[in-house]
Amino acid sequence: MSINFMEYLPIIIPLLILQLILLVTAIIHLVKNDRLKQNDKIIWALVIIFINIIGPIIYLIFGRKED
Amino acid sequence: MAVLEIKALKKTFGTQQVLNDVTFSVEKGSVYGFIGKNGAGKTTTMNIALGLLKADEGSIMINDEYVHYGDTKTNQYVGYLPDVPEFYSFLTAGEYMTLCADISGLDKQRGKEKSAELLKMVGLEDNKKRIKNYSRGMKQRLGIAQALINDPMLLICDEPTSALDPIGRQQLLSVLQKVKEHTTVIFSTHILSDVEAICDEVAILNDGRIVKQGTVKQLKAGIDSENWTVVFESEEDAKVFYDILLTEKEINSLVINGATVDGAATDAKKAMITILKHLNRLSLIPVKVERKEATMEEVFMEAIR
Amino acid sequence: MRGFNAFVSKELKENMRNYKFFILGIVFAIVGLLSPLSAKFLPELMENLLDETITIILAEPTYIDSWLQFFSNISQIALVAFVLVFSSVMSKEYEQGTLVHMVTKGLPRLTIYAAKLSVLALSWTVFYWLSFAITLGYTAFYFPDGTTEGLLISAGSFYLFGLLLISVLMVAGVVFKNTYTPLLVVGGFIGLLFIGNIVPAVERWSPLQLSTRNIELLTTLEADRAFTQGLIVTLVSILVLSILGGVIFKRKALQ
Repeated sequence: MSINFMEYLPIIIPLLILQLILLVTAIIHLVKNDRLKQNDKIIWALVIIFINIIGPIIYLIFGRKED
Repeated sequence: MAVLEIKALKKTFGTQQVLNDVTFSVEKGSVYGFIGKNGAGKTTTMNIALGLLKADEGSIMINDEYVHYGDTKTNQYVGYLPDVPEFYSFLTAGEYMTLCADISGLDKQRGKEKSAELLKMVGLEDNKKRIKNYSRGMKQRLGIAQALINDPMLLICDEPTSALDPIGRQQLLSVLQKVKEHTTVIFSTHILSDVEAICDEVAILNDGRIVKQGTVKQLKAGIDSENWTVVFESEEDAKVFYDILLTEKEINSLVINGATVDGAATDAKKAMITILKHLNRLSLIPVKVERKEATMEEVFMEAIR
Repeated sequence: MRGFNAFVSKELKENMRNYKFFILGIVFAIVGLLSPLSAKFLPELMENLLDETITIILAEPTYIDSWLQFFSNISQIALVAFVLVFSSVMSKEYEQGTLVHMVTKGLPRLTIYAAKLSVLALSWTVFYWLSFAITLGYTAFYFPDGTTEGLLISAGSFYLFGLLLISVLMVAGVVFKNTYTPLLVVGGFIGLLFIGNIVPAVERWSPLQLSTRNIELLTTLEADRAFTQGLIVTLVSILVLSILGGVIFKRKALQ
């Protein structure tokens, strides 16, 4: 293996930060959301954490139940 | 001067004729009741007046300007309160009022003052919640506040009380009383006690036609049948009196209930003379003789018969 | 103008508070980062994964590969996300009857339409060029011998293609009162463009060129006649559709 990871750090770090922001935003919203039942919350938590990028987005669009 | 003038309005949905030659006008400074059963065409009429629906025939003028479908110019004279108002749920009441003030073209300072004043009037002054967390009643109160932001010449309320609890209804009616001083109000309803409480004039709509209109007093006076009651000390007196009245033609729907005799008559004055004549002749001394004014209920029932 | 500004500010608040701007900002930024990364990283990864005895000659990636990835990602991920997120731009208002209060306050219907269209166009502009700027920066960083020549017309044409889809979305949103039909209409519109390409005469006038010939433009550095025709058709279509949407909305029942 000769891939030089150092070379990619300048692009991978912002990418990871963006994902983290997305994840944290969705999780904070989920925790505060009192319109969801406890069971639904757990499922959404799994979706948000384990489906990379798409999970938090789907929650924020369809899962909020606010409108 | 007429603030709202509706002439020969016709509207069909499919094969159903919803409005058939509706004509009436609302004079400045009055509270105008627009009465009818559900489906009589009240909402349709109001939506046409707001430019939300297209009329098949006829015209509507607000402040001497024609209302055109799809156009919103005449709406600047109008405030509108529907039965179940829905607002942008992501805004707070204050933000929503600011939006309404901007749309109505109030200058910034005036808009601020006016929305603060109105929110205070409806009891939402220090509410930082977004509208999505509001109850039905709170939304309705915000509905009144937003409808009055532009100091409308005409306030159109479409069954504003039908979704409210008795307390909310009282509050709303008292607000309408208050705004009456500088705003003409037309409100549709099927709750007749509301009409008696605040309306000056009334139009009764049935099957797409105005079947009766006038002041509440006129309509009540115009009703053919009037009720009366005579109460006696004893049941025997009542029975004697009852038997005699059975022979009188102008008296109808005669009912005896213990010492009380109730009835109606097409000509109330003539009936009263007959009643007094018999009382005198039989030397019966009643506890109470009462002529009862017709209720709006009776006016309405007769009008839609 | 007061009414327009007030309604635009309502739209901006709405999209901020329902996370639409947040989501699109992240998606477009990720696309901007991902494009130069995959251009640089994928060939290297392939080489390392393959057996040493098999020799595959992979050309050394260039800045062109970075932009190839960009146009592919922006059309398949970012633009799709954009249309999805904004597919309810009209339907939500229809469903909740919220526009009734705006027009009964005297706000002209055309103002409402213009404000919504402007906010969509503005969002697309900001997010698209943000994504572009990120890719531009990293492409310069990883492929220092690349040039920026032809980039403006190449990226600009895809930007216009996005505006075209937005104007289609708005017309469909006005006509159909639910969330899904406008999505189908935009999808169907792109499908029709692809089908149209079977006929050469149509292909030479097709707006689709603005989203498929970007790399060609980048390498040849010049637009041929067919491309210019496609560009003109696109511009005219944007204009016509925008006006059409407004005209329909003026006569549309709001509930």
